[in-house]
Parts: sequence; C-alpha cells; structure tokens
Amino acid sequence: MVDESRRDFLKKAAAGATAAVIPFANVRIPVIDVTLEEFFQKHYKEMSDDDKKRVIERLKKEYKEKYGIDAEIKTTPPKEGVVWGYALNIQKCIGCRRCVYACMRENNQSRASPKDPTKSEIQWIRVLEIEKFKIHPGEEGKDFRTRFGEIIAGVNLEENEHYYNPEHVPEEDKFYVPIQCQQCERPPCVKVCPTKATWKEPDGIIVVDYNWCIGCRFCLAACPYWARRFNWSDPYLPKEEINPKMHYLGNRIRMRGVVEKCTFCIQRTREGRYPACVEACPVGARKFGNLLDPESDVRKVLEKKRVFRLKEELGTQPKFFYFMD
Amino acid sequence: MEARSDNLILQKALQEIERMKEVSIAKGLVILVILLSMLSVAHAKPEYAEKTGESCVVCHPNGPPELGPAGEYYKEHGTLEGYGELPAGEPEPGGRCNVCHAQFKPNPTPRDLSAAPREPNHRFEFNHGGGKFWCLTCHNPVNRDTLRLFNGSEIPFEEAPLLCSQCHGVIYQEWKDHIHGRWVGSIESPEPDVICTDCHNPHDPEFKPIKPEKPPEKPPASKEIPNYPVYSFIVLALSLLLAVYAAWR
Repeated sequence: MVDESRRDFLKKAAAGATAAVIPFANVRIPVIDVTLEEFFQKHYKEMSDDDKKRVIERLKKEYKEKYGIDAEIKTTPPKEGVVWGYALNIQKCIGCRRCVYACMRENNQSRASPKDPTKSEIQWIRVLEIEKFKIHPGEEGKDFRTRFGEIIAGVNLEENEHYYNPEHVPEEDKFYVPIQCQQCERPPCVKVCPTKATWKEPDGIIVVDYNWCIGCRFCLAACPYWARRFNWSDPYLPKEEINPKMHYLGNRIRMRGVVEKCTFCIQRTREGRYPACVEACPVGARKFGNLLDPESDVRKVLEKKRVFRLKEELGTQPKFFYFMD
Repeated sequence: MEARSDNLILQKALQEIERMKEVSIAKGLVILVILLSMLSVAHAKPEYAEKTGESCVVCHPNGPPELGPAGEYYKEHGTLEGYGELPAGEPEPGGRCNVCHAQFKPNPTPRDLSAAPREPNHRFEFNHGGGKFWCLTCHNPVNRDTLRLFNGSEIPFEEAPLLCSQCHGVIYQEWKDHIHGRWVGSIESPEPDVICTDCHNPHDPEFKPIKPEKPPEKPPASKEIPNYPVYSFIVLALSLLLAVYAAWR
C-alpha cells in the first residue's frame, strides 16, 4: 500500500514537473547547454502522441535555426507481421563503396569538415577486402603432411583491410564483405546500455533514442561487428547535403556525444521502400525483405542459396545474411 | 566493165551508208527518249547521291518521292553526318536498324564487319557464346529492329530478358524472384530498375571493373607520450606501494 501510494505520488510529481516545465520550456540550462524541455523529455517508448508531436516541433525549429532546412520528421510505427531481414551476395559484391556513400547521403552522417579537423567523417558501412584462400601444392612424397601443401583458408575479420584503394575493383584474388549493423535478434549492444536508450523494435530493427543516449559507448565495445559509431563532435553537414526526410529513430541529425548506427533506413523501410544501399548497389548484390513473408526477396535467398552469418558462434543471431551463388 | 562494176560498188556503198544513217538516228532517238524519261522520273538521284555518297534507299526506303528517317535527317541537317551513329559507349537498341538493313539480304556467314557501311554501329568487342554465336543468333534476320527467339518468334528489344532466358534459365528465374539484378520502388511489389542488357553488354556480358569510391578517413596517428617509461614506472611503484599497504593492514 505504502509503496503504491509512493509510486503514485512520484508519478504525479513527475507529471507535474513536465507540466511545470512547459512555460519555461525554452530556458537553457547553462553548463550542459540544453533547454529545460529537452532535459525533461521522456523516453521515446513512453511518449504519448502529443509528446511526440511536441518533440518533433521542437526538433524542426532547432534544425531550422541550426542548419536552415525544413525537415520532415516522422514517427512511423512498425507494421504488424513484419521482421526485416537483409541478404548480401558476397560473390557479386565488387567492393566499389557505392553503398557507403548512398548511406551517408540518406542518413545525414557527419561529413569531413574541410576547416575543423575535429569534425570527422562517419560511415555506417565498412567494406572489408579479403584475400581469397590459397592452396600451394607441396612436394609429394616428402612428408605426408606437406603433400597437400600449405593451405591458407578461413577469414579473420579483425585483420582485413578496409582502407583499400586500387585503381579498379574488383581485384584478382580478392573478395569483399561489407559490414554494417547486423540487427541481431539477441543484441549485445542493447543488453549493455545503462539507460535503455537503444532497443529492438517489433520489426526487428535496433534503434537509438539519441536524446536518451548518454554517450558511455558501452554498446560500441559490446558490438562484435563494429557497427556502431560515436559522434565525437557536432556533425558537419552542409545545408545542401542534408536529407530532409527524417525519422525520429533513424536519420534525424544527431548531436555531439551520442551513438548512431544503421537502422535499415527506418525512414524508408517503414514506408515500404528499399534501403538506400539496396538501391545504390550497381551489381544488385543487396537484397532486402520481410523474413515472415515466404514470397519476400530475403526468404527466396534463404531458400535457394548457401547462406552464412558473421560470427554465428557468438549466438547474437543476426538478421543480416551473406550468401553465394 | 571495170567502170560499171566500180559504179555498182559505189552505188551499193551509198545505199549502205543511207541505211546506217537511218538506223543510227532511230537508235539515237530511242536512247534520247530513255534518257529523258529517266531524268523526269528520278532527277534527284545523281544530285543527292553524289552529295551524300549513299544509295537512294538510304533516304527513300519505300521509293523515291517519300522520305525515310534518314531523308528527314538530311532535310533538317543538310548532311547525313552523324545520322545513325550511336553515342559513345553501349550500343543502344533502337528502331533504326532497318533503315539500312531493309536493303540487304541477310548473310548468315560469320565475317569481318569492319568494312560495312555506316560502320560505327557494329564496332565492338564480341565476346559471348565462346565463338559459337553470330549476329543472327539473337537478332532477327528478317526485321533488324527486333530480336528473334530460337522458336522463331519475334520480340522487341525491351523484352530481351526472354531471349537471355533461353540459355540462362536459372538466372532468369532468380531475376523473376528479385534475387538477381536490382529491383527498386516498393518492397511489396518491386519494379526492375534495369533489365539484363542494361548491366550486361549482350555482346560482351562480363562485368567490367570500375573505380571504387574513396576509402574512409584514417584515424589520426596517436601521438607519442613524452617520458612514457618514467610515468609508467611511477604508476607501477605507486600501485605496488598501495598493494603492500593493503596487505599490511
């Protein structure tokens, strides 16, 4: 009884605090430089529709002042009976990095500032260049162990090059593995978050409420795929390069001190469109679809192709599949 | 006797000359009539054929007075220069092949085409089918503005995937299932952004290497800390002292 009344009191007090804040919403708290409204903003999952509307109005005003753009920020909810999955054909991928830059244009990542070296480039997709395995024939009859020669096989993802820059790709004896957020079913990054600022949505996408992220970067350490990025500074975004079609949980412009990641282009996929990287791929290596729909592109891949996932032994159960013809 | 016979010969010769004159006048008249008739029917031939260096059918595919696309082009630009030549890069399937090909008899023998008239249309590396293919394997010999399937049916260039599927059936099925090629638009009902021949040059289908986009920024090299061994020694000593103190207490 006592506990319940106490909880009630706290709830009312909290509600009262939010209501009391409204008249002073635009007052800035000096040291941390945020408005009172932003400071008392609720977690996205606890927001009512009115709260969401208010927050979006505030964000629109903020972007207008800061970047001079008229943003359209959506909060489209997930659809029933949809779990998104991704499939990538590593036999087709030529490592041209078209997806990397399509992703940057779509998702408003920070660009490299020509003036300020602290504002650096953020990319969500990292393309690894991997040497194809080699089998050197050994000397026959010398030793039964060397009969088959030296075999270099297997892939160590930690040791591969992603700064490769040849004249033309693909190169002989190389293959390419683009890595982005694998949208795990059991995501270690969600497990470690101390503020529950990152979570798995019902359609399987791992999202971040940037306003609840405190920038501790535990999730960066927990992610086995190096899929998360940290904003060390406020992003550098020229006005003409900003994509004004945003989603609250996706590509809205981030601020300093928060973590960001691939969201399967939540602002596009929840409207029924393909992610930007799928549409940018010049060789059609990227496939996207609903894992619960047996007629979807991804389910067709799972049915017909040889499929693997990265670091399966960790039990993270990624919804990002790699396949071969 | 001799004079008489001479007279006779002279007379005969005169008669012969008279006859020849009549014949040549008749012949000349006939030739004149033919020439005049030709001039009145096809007076443009020598003039434009001389200017363009092409035969009549290039501009008049359906007979002289009517102009074909090439004729219209000449009327507009005053020259045939540039007509029928496709922009650099991929040869584009168009509806203009018949302008020239309607007048040729199809020749199924593989041969060097570099001397063909208006040649740039046919200058490309042919690297498909392992030497067993020739133009007419896919192109329709009767109507060059279309393609022909093995069963003899005629299809437009836009339906090329059907032609490709005759050999590449598995890939065609994968394309239909949206797991080959690029599909865009709505996830529920995607549309093909491109068809086979947009990505794979049908005359040389293998994908060519392209230039990659620039690599990500390398993180700046970490600066060397001055007097690093000294600091590390102090920290080590302090922690040792702390450990000893803790054990002692």
